Formats: sequence, structure tokens, C-alpha cells
Amino acid sequence: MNFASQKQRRPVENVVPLINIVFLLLIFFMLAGSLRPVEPFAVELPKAAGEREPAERGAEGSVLFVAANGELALDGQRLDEAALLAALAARSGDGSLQLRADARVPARRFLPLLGRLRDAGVAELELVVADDR
Amino acid sequence: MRFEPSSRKRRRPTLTPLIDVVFLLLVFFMLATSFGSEASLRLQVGAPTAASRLPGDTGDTGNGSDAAPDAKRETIRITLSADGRIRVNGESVREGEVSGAILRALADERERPVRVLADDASPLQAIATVLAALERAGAEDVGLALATPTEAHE
Repeated sequence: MNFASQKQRRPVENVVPLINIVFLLLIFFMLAGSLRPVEPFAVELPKAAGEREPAERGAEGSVLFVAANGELALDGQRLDEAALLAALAARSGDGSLQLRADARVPARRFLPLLGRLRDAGVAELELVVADDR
Repeated sequence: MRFEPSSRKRRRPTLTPLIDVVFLLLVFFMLATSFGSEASLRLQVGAPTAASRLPGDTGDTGNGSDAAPDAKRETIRITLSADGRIRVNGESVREGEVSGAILRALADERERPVRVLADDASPLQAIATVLAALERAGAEDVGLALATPTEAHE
């Protein structure tokens, strides 16, 4: 029997269904998932039944992370509150900010922060929650 | 290694690099995507929200005795305790019933003032639950503030 000649014709053809499936998976993940911003620390979003989808954020200085222990990070960069307020006051844009805060942040940390954000020129705040509907 | 005759090799371009790249993309999207859906709540920072004290708060349970222009409208007071419990106008409400309680309290008057008083230690989860319920109920005048110790234990 002459196996060698058969082997030479076959290998490339067998890969095509594999590529089909992989492409299918690729397209599935591209369409069904959503890219999430890189988190500088673990943030467990509060669960609530919100109605709006959070806006896509591409601009700089537009996503503020608040960790459970009160640590802050703007766009993945950790900073303290003074640096944060300075960065927010210096940025140009529509004054909107997306807030990704941990569900365990106590109110004594969270509410005063809101007031200071407003003073730093943040006009519109969006609190991101995990939709639990 | 097996070298094929060059004429045979030419007939079909090699697919291996393509597959490599596609696999790479596949793995990237698998790791970078998240399937848990997210929503957003608007925090009104321009308004009385986040002010330390609110003019409509007189310390009572909202019988509208203050001299505000729309004093005839009862202020709805929602208090959040340190352990995350929620009370609407003094009545303890379970987490799943917050929405219904707020709708009942609002009684179709969307412009009725709502004051959310959070205990120092109340978690953001409770605030988010209440804000989501208020947003769904369509409350227009929402104030959010830290409660003074006496208010928290009313």
C-alpha cells in the first residue's frame, strides 16, 4: 500500500472545519461579550436593577475605581484623593465620570467623596452596578 | 522533517500562521470579555445630593413642618443602617421589597422630595439598591446624605 501519497494530500484539508469552528467561537465571543476595563484592584460592583447601559468610556480620566478599603484609581492608575481631585480639575471634557465602586465601600467614605468630586468639576456621575435582573 | 516537492507546496497557502493568529484572538476575547451585564445609575451631583445637611431635614419623620415652598408635600425619608438594612419612612423594608415600598410612598407624585440618610457604615450596596429603586420609580427630587447619629437610630 502507498500511504505516503495519501498523507500528502490530506493534512491541509482536515484543518478547514477546525478553522470554521474557531472562527465561529471567535465571532461569538466578540459579539456576545463586552470588553471590560482593566481593574487596578478587585472591585465587586453592587447589585441592583438598573435600566440604562453604562456608556462606553474611551476618553482619558473617565473611570474612577473605588476599592472596598477606600483606595482610589483613575483609569487603572492608583492615586490618593488629592492627586485625583487635581487630575479631575485639570482634565478637559464634558465633566462626566463613571464610578466603579465596590459594594462594601462605607457611606462615610463614599458620600463625602461625591461632594468633593462635584467641587472638582464633575457634572455627571454614573454609578456602575451589576445588573441582577 | 518532511519536505514536500515545491510544486505541491505552492498549490495551497499554509494555514498554520492564520490558525495561530485566530487562536490568539480567540483566547484574547475569551479572557477579556465579561458576560455579566452591567447597568448604570445616575448620581445627581449638581443638586442637593451629597450635601452634608439638607434644608428639608428637620429631624422628624417627614410631616412636612418645615417652611419650604412645597411644604405640603411630605418628604419621604429613607434611612440606611450600618448593617445594610433599609427603612422607608421608619418602616423596615426587606431588600426585595424596597421598590414596592418606594412606589407606595411616592404615590404617583414623582416630584415629592426623597431624602436618603445613610449611616456612616452603611455599605454602597444599600445605597445602590435604594437609588435603583428610586430611579425606576421616577423620583425626581432625591437627596443623599450621611445621617447624624440620632437620625440613624430613629
